[in-house]
Amino acid sequence: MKPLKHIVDTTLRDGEQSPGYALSKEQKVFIAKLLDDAGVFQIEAGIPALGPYEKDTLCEIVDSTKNAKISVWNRLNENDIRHSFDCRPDIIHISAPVSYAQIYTKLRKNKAWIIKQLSVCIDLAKSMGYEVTVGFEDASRADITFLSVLASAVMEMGVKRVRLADTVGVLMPSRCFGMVKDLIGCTGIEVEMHAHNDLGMAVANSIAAGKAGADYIDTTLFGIGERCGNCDMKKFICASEAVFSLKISRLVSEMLEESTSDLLVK
Amino acid sequence: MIKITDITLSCLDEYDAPSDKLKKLCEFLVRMGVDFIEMSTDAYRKIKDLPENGKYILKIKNREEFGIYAGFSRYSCKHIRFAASPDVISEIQLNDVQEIASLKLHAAVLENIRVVGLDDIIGHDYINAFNNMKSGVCKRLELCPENGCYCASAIAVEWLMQGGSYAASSFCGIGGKAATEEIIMALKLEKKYKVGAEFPFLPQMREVIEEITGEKISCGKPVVGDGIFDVEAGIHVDGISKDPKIYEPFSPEIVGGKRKLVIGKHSGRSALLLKMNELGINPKEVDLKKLLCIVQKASIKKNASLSDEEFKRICHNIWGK
Repeated sequence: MKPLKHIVDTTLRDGEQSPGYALSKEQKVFIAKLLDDAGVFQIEAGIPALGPYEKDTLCEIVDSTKNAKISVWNRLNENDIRHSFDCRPDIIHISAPVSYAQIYTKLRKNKAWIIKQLSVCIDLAKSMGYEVTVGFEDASRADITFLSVLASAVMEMGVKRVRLADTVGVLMPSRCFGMVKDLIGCTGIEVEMHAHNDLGMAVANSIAAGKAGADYIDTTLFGIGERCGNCDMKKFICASEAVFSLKISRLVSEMLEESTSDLLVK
Repeated sequence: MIKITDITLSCLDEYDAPSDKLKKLCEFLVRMGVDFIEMSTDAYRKIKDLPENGKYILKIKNREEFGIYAGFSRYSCKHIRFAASPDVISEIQLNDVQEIASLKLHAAVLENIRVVGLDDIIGHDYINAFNNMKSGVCKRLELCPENGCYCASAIAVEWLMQGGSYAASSFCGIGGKAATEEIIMALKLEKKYKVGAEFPFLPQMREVIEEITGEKISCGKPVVGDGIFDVEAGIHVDGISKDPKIYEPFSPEIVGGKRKLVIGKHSGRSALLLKMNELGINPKEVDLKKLLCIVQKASIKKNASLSDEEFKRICHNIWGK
């Protein structure tokens, strides 16, 4: 029996934030409804901290969808989380930088600060009754031991799933497989794979992650996203439907592309 | 030792490419430093004088052509019956992992084999499959994965990382193959191939391919797309301003690219300041919150990012010229 994998679509967050895209509220709601009807497990719909317009959009997406879980993306700070409360999502996703470059050069903090700040942000979101997922940003360039420590820590804080982000798209399938396998083996946590396509390997890495036990795969329509894009939903489904059980068929993913090409193909 | 054969020049016959473009492409492939450059007889007739410093393979259709075009270091051919010569690489199509077992029969009579296909091998136990292929004991086994499952470059890189020595690919994956530039860059980042090399001519190479095929390469095409170093999102601009390595897998200069700050719906305040500085806009007092709001509205109305001219106009409307 083929293992079931859930599609987490991030067209409206990681896809839309790439240069060239600026969807209106009506357009985002339209795409969210299509994704919802298509059977996407989770829609990462946007970033509340962007401002009132984005928050209005997210509220309407929450009100207009029936099946998919709606998640919103947050940086590792309390203000972002508070903005998310205004949108009433199903899931609050908190992105935690985990590589040396991200922690020390970008944030100018340290690993202890990351763990402490995660605890503060997770507690805040949990205190309002939200399901929380945590993203390990730049996981592919991070130390696997630190990832395991972090995963164990957030599990104790009540988080069931972490996203492994290949933020700059430098993974290859065997390394991706090993990273996911090791993390699940060490901690038992649920894993969501978020691949970027800088070396043309986003689909292959997502399949490798699924084979290693990741139950959630991040995709975007047409593979839109930063630089070379994310894992393309249709391509992932075409390439993996023989291996995985997916709720969305190749035909449905093609119909999704047909319905959104005017908005998403530049 | 890793050896890459680029087969772009044997994948372009259907486009009726002019000879000067093919020659230019051939020169770029030599500069790229691929180990072998394969071409069709049609391409060879058009190029005539092959650039120096390249090692060339001619793709032939039959035994007769083997006699007509003498002087190549190697030949490749799909018809294996006459190809038992050590100079000839025999192409064998494998559409399924199960077919790998049949390689042993071919390896018994052929020294040089190129396996073409195996599109879906990533979904299988490909490391074991690669080991089975290598144990077929032919002298030279080259893998030319096809891209039916959008994994060809990953398959080629995995093959080479798992001990395979030879892979075949094409520039931008033309002809449905793995993309040479993706393989080289992946191996370079792993410090396995072309470690110190730079490829500043890739944008020109992309233009030549676009002219030959009449098709625009996507601006997001890995390694060679002309928009892959554009950045707009506030968090990314902030990271890149601190150190580009935070959000770039390699420097734009390595592949002849250029980083570009784009202003739009997802810009942050620091991006606005950076862009104003870049454009020489220096007002005495700046209400960034107001500017950000105007930029977001304009961008949503346009349904796209703003051009530098549009951003300048917004600034001039606020502060005057």
